[in-house]
Amino acid sequence: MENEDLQTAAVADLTERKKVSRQYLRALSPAEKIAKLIQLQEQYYQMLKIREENGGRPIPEKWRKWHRARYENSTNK
Amino acid sequence: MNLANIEDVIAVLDDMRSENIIQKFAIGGAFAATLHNEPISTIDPDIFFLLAEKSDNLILSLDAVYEYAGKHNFSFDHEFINIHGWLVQFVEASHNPLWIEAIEEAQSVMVGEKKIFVIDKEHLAAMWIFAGRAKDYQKIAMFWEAGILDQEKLFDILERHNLLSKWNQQKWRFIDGE
Repeated sequence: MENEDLQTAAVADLTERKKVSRQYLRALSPAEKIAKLIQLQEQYYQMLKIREENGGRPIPEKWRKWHRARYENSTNK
Repeated sequence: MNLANIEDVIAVLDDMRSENIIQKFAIGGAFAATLHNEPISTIDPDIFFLLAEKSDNLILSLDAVYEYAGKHNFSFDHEFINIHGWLVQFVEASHNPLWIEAIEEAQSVMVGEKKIFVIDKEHLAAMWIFAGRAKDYQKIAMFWEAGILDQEKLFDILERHNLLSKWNQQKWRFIDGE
């Protein structure tokens, strides 16, 4: 019974935190949202890279293209 | 990578329009979802556009876009053009009445000092129902959960574009309790 109460409280706490986090993100200006999107791209690529380096699935080709585009100079084909 | 780059991308799109390469255009996809709701990771800004020069051939019709990219030293790979470090995906919209309407009714949004047109939330949701991939339903779920969709407007769009039955069939995927 005590465990169930703790679990319920933990879920309620996480739900509230998620709500606050989403309210914050939704209230950002368009420019701030794009800055966050850029952060998410970087974090997601790093996650894919670490997974590959540890013997997991390779980085998907579309993310390799994204990385090349962002970090290599634009040259005409 | 900083915000200045996306303003540079917008400047390039404006230039493409002023050079009559593309006509009207608007941002769609996950990038538009980010601007309307909250940031979600996506590789590319999707640009839905109408060509200035009409063509029946969808492959040839992008020639003007590629030609512009080459002239300005932007590399490209199939539908992606690398504009200042952003992989911009160009989607020619003239064969799809829903996409045309979405471009026509797009809303202007200021990003820093630049104005860009963004497809509105309800047309985005209808376009995601039309596309019908798992990631499209996830984005509808996010909009629905956030309570940001004008339902009267959305259902009008769905009805006019024969998507209402698909919405009703698939809504269990993105609306809790359906």
